[in-house]
Amino acid sequence: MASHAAALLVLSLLILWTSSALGGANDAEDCCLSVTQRPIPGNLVQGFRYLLLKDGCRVPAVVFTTLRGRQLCAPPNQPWVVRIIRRLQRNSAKAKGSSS
Amino acid sequence: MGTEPAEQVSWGPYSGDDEEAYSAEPLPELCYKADVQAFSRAFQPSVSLTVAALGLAGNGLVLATHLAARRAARSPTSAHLLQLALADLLLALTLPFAAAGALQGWSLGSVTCRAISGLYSASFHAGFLFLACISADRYVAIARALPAGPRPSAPGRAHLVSVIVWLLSLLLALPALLFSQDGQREGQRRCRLVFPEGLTQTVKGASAVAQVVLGFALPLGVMAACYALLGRTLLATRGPESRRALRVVVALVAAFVVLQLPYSLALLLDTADLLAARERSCPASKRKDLALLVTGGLALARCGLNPVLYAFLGLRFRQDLRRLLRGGGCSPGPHPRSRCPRRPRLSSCSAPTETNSVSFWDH
Repeated sequence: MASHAAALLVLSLLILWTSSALGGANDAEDCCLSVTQRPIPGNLVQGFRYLLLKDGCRVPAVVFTTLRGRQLCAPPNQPWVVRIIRRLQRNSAKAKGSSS
Repeated sequence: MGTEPAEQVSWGPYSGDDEEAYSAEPLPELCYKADVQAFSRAFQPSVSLTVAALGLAGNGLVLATHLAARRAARSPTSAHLLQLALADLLLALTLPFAAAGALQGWSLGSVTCRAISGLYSASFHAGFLFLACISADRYVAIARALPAGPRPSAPGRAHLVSVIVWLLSLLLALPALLFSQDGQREGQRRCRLVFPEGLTQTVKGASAVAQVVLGFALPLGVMAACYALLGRTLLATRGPESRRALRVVVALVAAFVVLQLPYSLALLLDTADLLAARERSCPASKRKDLALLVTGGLALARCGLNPVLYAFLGLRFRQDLRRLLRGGGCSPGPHPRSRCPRRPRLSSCSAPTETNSVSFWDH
């Protein structure tokens, strides 16, 4: 019984340190498995969206849709990625402005 | 962060041509898992509902039988078996919610999401902790029956251990209770655990390691050690009862290994990937998801099978059940042949009367 209690104590300490997470089951979401480190030419990109940790992905990424419809994964915090996103946002704002 | 998804055009099959020209290596692309998701949508709810039905019926029966028998003095194993049934029953109660969520998205709000995830996590952990407790109890019961065994502990000890296990399980469920979110993605609401940004990878990795170590290695270690010692004692004892008891031991350990080992191995591989930040190809990632899904269903089945393995195999339980079904509880008054057996006194392991030798299994 003493060893039993000791085992439980060790168990509780380990658990306290690590804190388990069963609810975080693998949902098999569409995600980026890796991101490119090489800049993508901005003129190939026609759209983007975020796939972040809160979307159930392990690798946070910006997904750029190219003109041919491929979906390329880019790191969200790189300057060249931010630049492309800003340009796309500007363009879409312009397109909206001209259409209305 | 909250940016609108870009306008989507219809996607043709990928063609690696001129866009690829500026780069010799293929660029990392989004990994679509529509086929795995389709399988998951069919597999997860059906497993969940089957296990829920089995779990509710079996564990409900165990609890009802215990309550009907109104046995006051319970052995530690008996108390822990009852708690195991309770944990599995609670787990089974959460499964229909999970199935509904997988089928049509989560529509019950954030508070329910946290409550259900927390309950799921707590009862799952309580379940395996009680399994380890039961193996230890059984070993202690055998050891105590030996002439040189330890002296009996206070009867309140089992209840204290139960309380500790439940508190521990609640602690374990804290991440699920705190961080479960009702989030939206592509029009579907999902109840899932999302760690706060920043510590995510570390905590996720640590939690996965904890799941393998605590959820499998430790209980298996405790069970293997206890049942090995037990088996040795039983082998030294001749008689049909001890052979029967041995068979039960083998069944318990085999079931635990068969149901839990594949999932734990899959989880271990996944954890290694996570910690090593290893990149897998899309097909490999899909195979891994599939493996986790199928083995996860197997691990869940343990909750439905526990009553069969732990309670129904016991003679005492079957007697109590027969009594329950006949509609007669056992009367507390004087009875010619007392039908409410008291806690058996284990004087000797080798005394092959029914109460003595089989009582380790029948609480």
